[in-house]
Amino acid sequence: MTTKISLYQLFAGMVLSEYGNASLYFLAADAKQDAWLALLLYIPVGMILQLLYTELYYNYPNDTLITYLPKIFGRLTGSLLGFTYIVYFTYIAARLLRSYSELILIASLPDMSILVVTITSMIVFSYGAFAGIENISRAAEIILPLLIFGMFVLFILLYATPNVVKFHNVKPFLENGLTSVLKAGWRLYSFPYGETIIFAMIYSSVNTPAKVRTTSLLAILFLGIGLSLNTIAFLVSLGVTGASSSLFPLFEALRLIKLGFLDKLDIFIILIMIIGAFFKISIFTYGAILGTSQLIKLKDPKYLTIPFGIGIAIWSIFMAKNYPQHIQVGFEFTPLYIYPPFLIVVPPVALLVHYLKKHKKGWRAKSSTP
Amino acid sequence: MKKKCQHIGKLSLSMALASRSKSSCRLAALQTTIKSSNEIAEKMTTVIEHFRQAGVNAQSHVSHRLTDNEIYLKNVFDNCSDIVIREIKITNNPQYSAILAYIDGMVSQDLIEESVIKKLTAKSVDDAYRPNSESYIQYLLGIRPEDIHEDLSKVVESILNSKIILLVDGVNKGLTIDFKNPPARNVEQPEAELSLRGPKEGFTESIRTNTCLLRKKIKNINLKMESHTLGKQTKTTIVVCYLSGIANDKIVNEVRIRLHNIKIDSVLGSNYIGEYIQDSSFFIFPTIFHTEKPDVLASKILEGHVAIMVDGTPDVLTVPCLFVEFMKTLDDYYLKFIPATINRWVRYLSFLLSVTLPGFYVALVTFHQELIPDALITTIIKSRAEVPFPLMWECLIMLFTYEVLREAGIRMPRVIGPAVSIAGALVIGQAGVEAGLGSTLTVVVIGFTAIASLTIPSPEMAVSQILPRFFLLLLSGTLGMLGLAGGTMILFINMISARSFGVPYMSPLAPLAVNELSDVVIRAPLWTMIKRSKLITWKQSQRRRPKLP
Amino acid sequence: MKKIIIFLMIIIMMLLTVGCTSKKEIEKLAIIVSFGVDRTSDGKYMVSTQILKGQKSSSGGMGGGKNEKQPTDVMSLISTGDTVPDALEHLSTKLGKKIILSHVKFIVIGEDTAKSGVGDLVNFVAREHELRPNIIFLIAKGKASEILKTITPEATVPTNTIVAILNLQSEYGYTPVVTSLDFSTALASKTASPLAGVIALHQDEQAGTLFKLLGTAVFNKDKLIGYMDEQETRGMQWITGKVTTGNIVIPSPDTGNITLDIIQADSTIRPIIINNKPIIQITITEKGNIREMSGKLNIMKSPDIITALEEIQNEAIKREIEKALYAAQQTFKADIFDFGGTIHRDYPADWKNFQGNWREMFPDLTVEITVNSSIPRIGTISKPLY
Repeated sequence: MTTKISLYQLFAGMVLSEYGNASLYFLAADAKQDAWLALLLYIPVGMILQLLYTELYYNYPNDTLITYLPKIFGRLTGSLLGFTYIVYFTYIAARLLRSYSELILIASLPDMSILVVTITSMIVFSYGAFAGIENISRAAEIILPLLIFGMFVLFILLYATPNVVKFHNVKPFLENGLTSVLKAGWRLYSFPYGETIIFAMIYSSVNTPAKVRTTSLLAILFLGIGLSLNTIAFLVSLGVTGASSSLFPLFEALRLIKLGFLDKLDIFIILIMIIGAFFKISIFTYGAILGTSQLIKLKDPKYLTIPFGIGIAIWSIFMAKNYPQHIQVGFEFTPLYIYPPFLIVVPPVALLVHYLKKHKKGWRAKSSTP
Repeated sequence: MKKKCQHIGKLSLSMALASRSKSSCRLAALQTTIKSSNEIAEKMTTVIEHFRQAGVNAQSHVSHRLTDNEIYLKNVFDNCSDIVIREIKITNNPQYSAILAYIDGMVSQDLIEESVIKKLTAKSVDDAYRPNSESYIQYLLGIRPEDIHEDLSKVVESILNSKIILLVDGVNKGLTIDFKNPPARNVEQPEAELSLRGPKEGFTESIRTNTCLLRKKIKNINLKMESHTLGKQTKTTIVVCYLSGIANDKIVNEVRIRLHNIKIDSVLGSNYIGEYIQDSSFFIFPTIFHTEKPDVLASKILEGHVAIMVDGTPDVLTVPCLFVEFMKTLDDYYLKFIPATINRWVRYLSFLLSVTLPGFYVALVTFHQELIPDALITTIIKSRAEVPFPLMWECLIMLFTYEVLREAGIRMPRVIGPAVSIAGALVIGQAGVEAGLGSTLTVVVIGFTAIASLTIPSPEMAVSQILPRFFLLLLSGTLGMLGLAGGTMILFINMISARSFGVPYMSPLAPLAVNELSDVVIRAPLWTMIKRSKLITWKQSQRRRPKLP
Repeated sequence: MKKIIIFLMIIIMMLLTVGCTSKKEIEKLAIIVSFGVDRTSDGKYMVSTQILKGQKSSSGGMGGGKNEKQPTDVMSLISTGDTVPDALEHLSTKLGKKIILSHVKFIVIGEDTAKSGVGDLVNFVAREHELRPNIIFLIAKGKASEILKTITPEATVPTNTIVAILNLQSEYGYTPVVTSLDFSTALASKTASPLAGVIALHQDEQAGTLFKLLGTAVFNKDKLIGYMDEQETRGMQWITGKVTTGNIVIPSPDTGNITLDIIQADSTIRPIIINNKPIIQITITEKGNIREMSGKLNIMKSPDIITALEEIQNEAIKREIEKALYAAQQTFKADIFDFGGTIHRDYPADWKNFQGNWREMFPDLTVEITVNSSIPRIGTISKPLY
């Protein structure tokens, strides 16, 4: 791994890629006005997943996910598993691209054809993947403080607009009890906290391996708090009914800002959408490309960008006939059948097998010494 | 040489149409013959050149006999009426002949008479050395051993480099005397880099003046000046300057290697070298810094950069070069730190605006009218009401007009300068709007963009903004905000992935180096900048002792 | 190299041929700043719109008198259709410009339309992306088209006049400022009643036709059931804490009236449950300066006079609130203050029991009103002049 990124760059990449996408939706909507609490409560779950992934990383410090799976499971099974992971990354990238294109079409350019939006966006994202993780992380470094500052200013403007924010909208607190909140948020394990598995491809590029675990845990914490603040912001301004009936509640909430001549600030939200989508899709595409190049032992992963870019764009267009179908697949199908094997089944099993092997080896070594 | 004898029949006008294929065949044959005969002619010219050169190189060493050397020089400088060959007698003794050869106008006439001819023709005081020996003249005139050449080609080179050659009968070496006084410009303030406060000296076309101006600023034995010669026809002198111990050795080495690899015919300006050694010719923004002022160059060398001076041009190159350097001027350090910081922010903002503002304006008004704040909507409608062109084309036309004005302004004679600028402002701006060709709001936007692009101190950066501006404008005009954001993202990633001699182009912004930011985002007070920036030197070094409050 | 050229050519062709679909030149757009909805006799929707004009309007002089034509920047257009968006689209047969709705500031609903139900309209407003969630609903006394056609002498864009009045009234409290978001939230709630502001035309002898925003329109679900006058409306706004400026007139203990200038007002609504019955406690804190006083009362003589006046002020505010409560509880039997929501927020468990019969419980709901007002300053003179 000749690419080197710093800890802060890893942090920025993790936070930006998930926040940019997750902040737009009403996560844990079934928890209604306690959705923000659900987000906070699932932070430990995200952290546990991170511990899993970083544990695997520490046992194989110079390998990415694709290269250590064969080492654990044997060449055939491991490579096959690796291949499915690559398909998974590509699928996620295509899903995201579709969600994002739909977003742009609904929110700002309704008359444009989805083909044009998808292709132009994919060109930008493939260019990011082409530039490599080093450059994506450098961009993330600069953009993270700017994004935080921007969101901060937007929130202040929202709270300053008269008659918009009603803090009592988050009451009644825990109306149906804590268990219902936890139940309502079960999907959170995968989106957003679980998708950080992609960083298992990137941990090996960090220049200070010892602190990777702390950084990733911090990133999850930061992400959770940020998303929770987000949810509070649009809950207090839209109310539960307004938020649940809206497709992009953050967007709708920020449209309420009206201070003198400062109104119609939709543009900044569109910018946030584009930035968030950029990082996430670029990183996922990069992960898929890197994995493929490692699987088939290709020297330079950069030129795989073109076939992957085209493939992801095409897959995203044919993925669903219309937006409601796309959301339904994402809401019901993927959290049940797609995410669990990749996120919570394979990593612990891999860890288990690894320890068994090490234990066996150690035992065998002990028994072979006279 | 393949001999192709094509039978070419006479092509007669009265040939019938039916035999058109035949005649076209014959025409093709004629063309190939012409082409091959051209090639033969070229080859013959090169062969003749070869012979001529060989003839010239036949005599490669300075011979003992003065007449041989004289004939050789006269042959080489055949048809050069500005070469002067004078014969003198050393110590006025008719047995000791010598000739002086130099190019008229390049050497100081008074000094030749006073310091060379008078001395040589004076009677020797004692007979320590034989008057027509090399040692006598060497020690009489104080000539360095490296200025004594055996090789005739070096002798010719010295003459071409404005030195005087002394050839003595009986000595098989040519002695060089340097009384260079070529026509040169005075040291004055460069027009492209005006300074409000601070030194106003600028480099000139003579490389020796330039190295002196630099030496005046840095009186340090570690300031190394390595000399190279480049350019097959022009044989220009290039001097590489750096502070050894502070500049990174890897970069210095890299510069040497890249210079060595240059195979070029002529070097007339420093950009000729620049284009050969820069990292990528296709990158939009400049990766090599140009300056004409000694104080700027001195500050860069003290930071650890490597400077490349080219004889014949006052424009000095500095490598490696980062994006943030284009946003700094030395004037920042001549003002107090708060106004200097504000100036810097104005520059950064102007850069951003000058690249994205036309695109943003077009995207907003053409695609996203819902985003126009209520306060502006009536103004915008009114201003666009009478204009026949779509907004994107209007902006493109106005930007193009501005570029035309700018180019014309560079070449304008001073006398009609003000008149043309008034004409530009009145004709294009006012009358165009009145006639309905443009709208006032667009004029304001484009005018502001133009002015914003002029705040960038470096002319290279200012002109390199034009392409991104047009690119973003086209993208916004066709795809709206999506195009603008996508284009900006692509530009941004492109800038981030670029490197200049190994150093990432956008440091210290990306990769983020917080302790470097004190000279980038703000201009921290001078007494806080204790450590030298690690970006270029890649090692720790201290500029000064930390001041205790 | 060739590959790059081909790639670029494809991109350029694609951009130039396909990409211009979403482009809208601004002068070819009809920017609607407000519209009104009525129903025609055969059940269709009639939409009247105010559209910003594109020409540079000549700066005409402001002559007095109502016969002179004032320069305007808007034009009014009317069209009909089966649904509201359908009617908006039919405008294209009269206007050669594409309709854009993102600058709509308010919607006026005709009285008859409101009576027959505004549910479809609210659905359209929520679903349409261009219509922002903070546009204001107003009910017209009479036909909405009358309001939309009127050009007033004050500003060149009548919509802005109305918006200005609304902005002021959001502090004075004589009419509520209800946004689309508020309306749809109230509509979706099972117990609250939606409200809307009321707009009417007013004929003034001097200035001509003016707009008047006064009172509240009360709905039951999505149908209009009645109006509240300005006193009742202000009472309601006291409860919801929206009143922040204005005047209160109280009878002086001496002779005549005292006018007080409200500088600050706040309200707290607290529900408590006693014996399984909910009680709402409303506390109003207010500060008002004396603006005008008739009679010979000398305030500066002793502070007790101020205390007495404060008591009278309390009474006056309480009376306004009681008027509003009476209207809500008895006349309309509609929970316009969303007391149900307040109980739900603080006592979710008990609310489950009340929710079903809230309609019946609301008229008999006990509401305790406490007003704490104070009079900090009395103007610039101390004792009466004569």
